[in-house]
Amino acid sequence: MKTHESFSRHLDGCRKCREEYKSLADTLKAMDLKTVPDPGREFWDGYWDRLEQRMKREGVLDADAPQAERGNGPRPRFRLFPGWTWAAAGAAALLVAGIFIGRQFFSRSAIVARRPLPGGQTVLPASVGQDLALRTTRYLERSKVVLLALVNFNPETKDIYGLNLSRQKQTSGELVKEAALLKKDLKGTAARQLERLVGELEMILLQIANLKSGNDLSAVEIIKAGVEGKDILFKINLNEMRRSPETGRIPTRPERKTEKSAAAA
Amino acid sequence: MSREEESRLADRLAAGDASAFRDLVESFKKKVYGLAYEMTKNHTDAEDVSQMAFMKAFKGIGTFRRGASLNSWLYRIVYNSAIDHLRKRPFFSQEAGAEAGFSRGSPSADPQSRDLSSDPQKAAEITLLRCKIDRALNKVSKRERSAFILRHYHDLDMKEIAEVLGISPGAVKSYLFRSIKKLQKEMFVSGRRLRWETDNESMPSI
Repeated sequence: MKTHESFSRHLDGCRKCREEYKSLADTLKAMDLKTVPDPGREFWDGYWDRLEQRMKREGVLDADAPQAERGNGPRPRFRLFPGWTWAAAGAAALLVAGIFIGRQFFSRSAIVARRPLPGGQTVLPASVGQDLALRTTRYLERSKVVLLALVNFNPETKDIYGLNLSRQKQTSGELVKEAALLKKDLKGTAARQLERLVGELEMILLQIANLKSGNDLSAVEIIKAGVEGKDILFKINLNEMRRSPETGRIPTRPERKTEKSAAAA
Repeated sequence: MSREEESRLADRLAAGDASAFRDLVESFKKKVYGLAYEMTKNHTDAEDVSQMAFMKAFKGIGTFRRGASLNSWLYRIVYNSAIDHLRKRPFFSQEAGAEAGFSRGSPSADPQSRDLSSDPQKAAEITLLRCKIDRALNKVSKRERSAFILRHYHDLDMKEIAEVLGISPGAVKSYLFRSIKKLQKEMFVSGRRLRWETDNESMPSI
């Protein structure tokens, strides 16, 4: 209501907008003249019978079912599944989801990450290191999703509104803020390449966040070229592979084998 | 049909109530046919598409989520059925205008035409204006036209239109705005804006 009131007040005071609004209103009123030709009562009265006959012809309905009277419906040939099957399917889906969650969050790598490294190497406290690794992983995964949406967008076959640009911009804005914090936390760790990758992503995401909403195809193409030119997605994938499968940690200093650790191994 | 009635019908359909499907057809057949006609511009195809849509709805009722809008679910089926139908008919002329040979019911089944039959000039002006409207609608993109038709002629809200077309509500707003602006431009006649004299009920001269 408030929006409507302030809009009406504006129209009262602005001649140009008032004329434009009147013109749009006239256009819409003219569009009311368009009607769908009414096929007539006979058509509507016979509609159900024709539909039912077609459904029987095409096997959607059981052809031997008695003629439906008004108020009764057809007997479906393909009945809905009995209730217990839905419950069983739901239980199976929950089981699969549980297995997936267990693997993701309670995997051996996550558990091992909490154990101290062999050889007595000093590392960041388990909680801090693991937290930074998790934040970085999430940042890279979310960035990857945004970039893939843009990179895979083909303007010849898809409408730009299918890209949901406003959502991508919003996500990119959030990720830019996250990048600033991550870069600060990654300084001083040995993960210089990761820090550089976060920085490169930050630049790309900033460009996406600053895109004009709407039909900004040329800017999208420039960003795509930037992503491809710098091999950003390749670097993200490489980072995913490089992270130690045993610790899942970001190394604090270059891993070096000492005689003791070699003997221990 | 109110939201509550819609919701009750949806529950009956989901529960496998045999009579619910007929009620669905009787309640929605005119809307379904209307949208199918607006997309195919042809009575025969409109009936065909509407029947296909109802059959798909019948077969797919198990996929209908409880709590979702039955209206937008059904409209989505109709819309997609019409799109599929049009894809199979690529050379069909999309020219607007009255369908030749339409003979169901009385020759002038359109109630507005009957009312104006006493004033042939007015009837001719309106017919001309309708052709202009159809031409204008053909000038906008498919998505813009669909969004406009669903909003203006079927009173779907933004969220429902978004569900039918499979796009975001923001995109729907953009399509609607663009379609109205383009229609406004198309309806601009001979340097004069289309004036609708609601005060004295006179028709615009074209």
